[in-house]
Amino acid sequence: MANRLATALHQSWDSDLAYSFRHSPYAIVAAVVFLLCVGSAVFAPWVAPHNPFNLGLLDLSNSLKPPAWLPGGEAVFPLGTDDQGRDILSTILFGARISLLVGICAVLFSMALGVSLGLLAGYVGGKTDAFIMRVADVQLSFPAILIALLVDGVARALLPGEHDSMAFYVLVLSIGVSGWVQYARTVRGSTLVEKSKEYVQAARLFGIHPLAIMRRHVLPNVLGPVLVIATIHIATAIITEATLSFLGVGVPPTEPSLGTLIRIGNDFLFSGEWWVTLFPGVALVIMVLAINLLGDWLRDALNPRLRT
Amino acid sequence: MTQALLDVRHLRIEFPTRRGILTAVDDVSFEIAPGEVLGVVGESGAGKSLTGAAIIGLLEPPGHVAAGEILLDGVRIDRLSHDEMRRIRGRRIGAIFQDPLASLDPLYSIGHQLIETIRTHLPLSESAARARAIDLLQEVGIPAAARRIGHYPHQFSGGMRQRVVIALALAAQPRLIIADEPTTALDVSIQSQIITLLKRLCVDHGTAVMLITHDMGVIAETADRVAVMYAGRIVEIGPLSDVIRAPRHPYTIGLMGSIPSLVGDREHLVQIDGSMPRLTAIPAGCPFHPRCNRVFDRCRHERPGLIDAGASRAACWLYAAGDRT
Amino acid sequence: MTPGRDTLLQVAHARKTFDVSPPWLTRALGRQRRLLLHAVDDVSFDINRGETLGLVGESGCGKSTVARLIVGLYRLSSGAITYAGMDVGTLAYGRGNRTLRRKLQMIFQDPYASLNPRWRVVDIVAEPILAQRLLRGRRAIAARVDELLMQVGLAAADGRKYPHQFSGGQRQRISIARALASEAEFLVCDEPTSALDVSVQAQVLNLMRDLQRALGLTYLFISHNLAVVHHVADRVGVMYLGRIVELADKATLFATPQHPYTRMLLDAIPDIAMSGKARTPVAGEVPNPLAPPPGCAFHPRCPYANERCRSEVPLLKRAPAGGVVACHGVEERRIDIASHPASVSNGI
Repeated sequence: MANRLATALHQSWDSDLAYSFRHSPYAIVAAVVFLLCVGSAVFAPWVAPHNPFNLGLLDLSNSLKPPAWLPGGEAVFPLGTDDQGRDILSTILFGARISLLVGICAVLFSMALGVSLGLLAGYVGGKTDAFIMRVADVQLSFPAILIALLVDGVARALLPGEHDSMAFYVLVLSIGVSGWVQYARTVRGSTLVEKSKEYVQAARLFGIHPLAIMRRHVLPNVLGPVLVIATIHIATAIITEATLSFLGVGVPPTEPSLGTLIRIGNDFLFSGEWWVTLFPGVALVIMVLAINLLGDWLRDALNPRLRT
Repeated sequence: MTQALLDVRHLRIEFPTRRGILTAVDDVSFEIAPGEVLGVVGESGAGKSLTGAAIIGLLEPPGHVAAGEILLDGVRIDRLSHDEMRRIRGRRIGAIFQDPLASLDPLYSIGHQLIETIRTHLPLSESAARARAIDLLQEVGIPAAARRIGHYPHQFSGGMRQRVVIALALAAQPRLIIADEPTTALDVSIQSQIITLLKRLCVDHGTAVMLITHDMGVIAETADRVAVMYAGRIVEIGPLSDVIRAPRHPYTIGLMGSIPSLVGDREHLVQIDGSMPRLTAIPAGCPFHPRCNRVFDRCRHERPGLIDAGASRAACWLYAAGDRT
Repeated sequence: MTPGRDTLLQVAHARKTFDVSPPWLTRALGRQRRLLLHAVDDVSFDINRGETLGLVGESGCGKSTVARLIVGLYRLSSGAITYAGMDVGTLAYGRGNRTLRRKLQMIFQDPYASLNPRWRVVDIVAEPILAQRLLRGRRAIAARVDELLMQVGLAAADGRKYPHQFSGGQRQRISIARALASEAEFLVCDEPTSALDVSVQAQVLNLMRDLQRALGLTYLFISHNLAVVHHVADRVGVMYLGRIVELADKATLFATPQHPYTRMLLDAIPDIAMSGKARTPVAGEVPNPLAPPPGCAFHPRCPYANERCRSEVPLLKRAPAGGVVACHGVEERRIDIASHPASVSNGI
């Protein structure tokens, strides 16, 4: 068993993808940064110097302290504090956690929805295809943010009072629904190509059910581009979540994400306490940039035409 | 003896990959006399298309000519710059590729493409070039050439398109044409038309042709001499009738025997077991030896060069003087 | 044609029409009519158990469509196809008759697209066994797959590999193994060797012949290559624009081709034997299948066409030299069907 794992690892290390990764400096840097972000977010409770959400520990006398290297700053609050006395560094770490979680869950939801609909549209064709694609076209004429706002608003109306506890799920749903179209379109195109290939026809000749053909034969062959879209979509999802939180319709301020932090800090921007909004903003940019670079590398690495 | 029009000497084409250097074409030498048709036949992976691409300067990187020389009319052309090669391409060497759809730009009329090619290489005015284009189209058998010169590629059928491609190749009056599988994508009846056309044009214009194909039948109809390629090398080269009727190299013998014919009724076709070696695993000695039914010890260790064997030459130790152990 | 005792497949007046009209809005705005492609137009033939029927023709003649109609990938527009008495029509787009599904299989032209690149060879070959529930138990199935792989000339260990690790000829062998896994007795082979090199083609053709002898298989062999068909087939049918124009046993067809199109095809084959035969230039090209000529579809290219040919579609009739031919000229004895110069010089 260990032998097979070792062989698999060795083969992956030696594969074309790994080779391309090892020789691409920006991919390596991006991956390292991304792993740092993910690692610190996952291990936030242990890594963060303070727990910003324990209301009992907050001391208003600590509020609006500048970063440690400026006059008035304290080493114990390396990036300063916000108006409630919360350590900015700790809130960034916890906030990144929420941003990443929402981003990844939303993308998974989008992917599941989009890939399924794309497969169905491409394989079954006819009226099913026409219907799904028209729905997609209609949705594409709205900005994704509007869609997310719409879904969010409907959810609020349906769940008055419980919104805060359900906020996470509503957020995942709204961002997920706003993003399925690109998966569906790509998968539909690939499905149309694969459907005409002889191995699919051979499967039909064996009397295999169309759903089984879609799942076992077509799906593995259309997932390639989906992976690339998903990687870049995580970045978009995180930004969408940040925007929604910034607008006040995202996660509640008691469990702030990076977007919420930016909003909170925005109020203090012009009164001189710039660190409250800047550092969460920089953290967001670094995380999204790392993901985008990884996605770029992945797309080029998976493109057979660019291979040497 | 007239100087050869094209002289390829010890050509070697390499592809650097991360797994090492792949030698796709190894020590290939041949000549083409003016006005002669040389058929280069071989199966996929033998390196014949790469050889043609190298001669015309269209090798796709990272493939490159690692060794050897290519001489056109006694002048080396394998080390020329892009611009110099561009001038030669079309004017002195023309090209016909397999897929006429890919060779013609769908956005421009065939007249436009013809005239552009003509005027790039010949000092003609627009109207003179147009007249020449119409002449060319008529020569290749496009009916109502004067009217159809304004048509676009998609308005022609496959066979007609290939005729246009031939016209394009001949537009600047090259002395040599590299034709890479010119009839493979066409129907059988159209194939015969194109073959006849190509033969006639080359006789009329005195153009030499390097005809690259895997189809022995096409070679039999058009070529004067034949070169058989295997695993990046020439294994046999000689006059057409010799190579076809009395092949020397065991691979050629097997190849001729495996072609189904309309004559006779054989239970089994001659079968060469195994398959052409991958570029990463070319055997030592003679590359054909693992599949050869007449192999002996020398074949496994020493690589044969082309050895005289009657009217043709074969890269096979069977024809070397000396013992056969 | 009344079926003989040995008739396995019967195709009776098969027709397949594709609607390739532009979308209705475009049509309505441009006042265009519906465009119908008569890919297969009244095709009838029988195949007996154990024989190989070759079907030749150029692109657009409908031979691939006939193949797909027989195995049920397309649905017939009209006509009937029966296999061992069972109606094949139930196969299209449905589970259909289990037995039919097992016994009728297809070998495709493109060795690179006929195997799922993400599946291992063992899974590919085992798929029909699992789908048809022919065997139970992993070990029994694995053993059967090994046996099949060796039967087509591969090694049992090849099962662990992926398709891209094999050459074109080897992939066709895997396709054959997969068809045999389904316990097929009738194989429709759609240009199975057209994408292969000549020496590899020889291997695959030899294999198919050996398997036919050993397992009593019946083949419908479709090809555009007359020499290959000459090698493999017992009887040969020639198709042109959706119709069969001549159908005869091999010796007759190649020695005394009767239909002008058949003669033209034989004339067009490049001549390896090089007897220096004068090549009569072949006229014209295959017309657009969307707008076939009236009457006999071949008449624009036929040196023997008369008024009747331009208006009346010829039917397959018994021909003087043997077989059936769809040609007014042959029927009216206008064409000299004494040995065709091509066959004389080919040494037949």
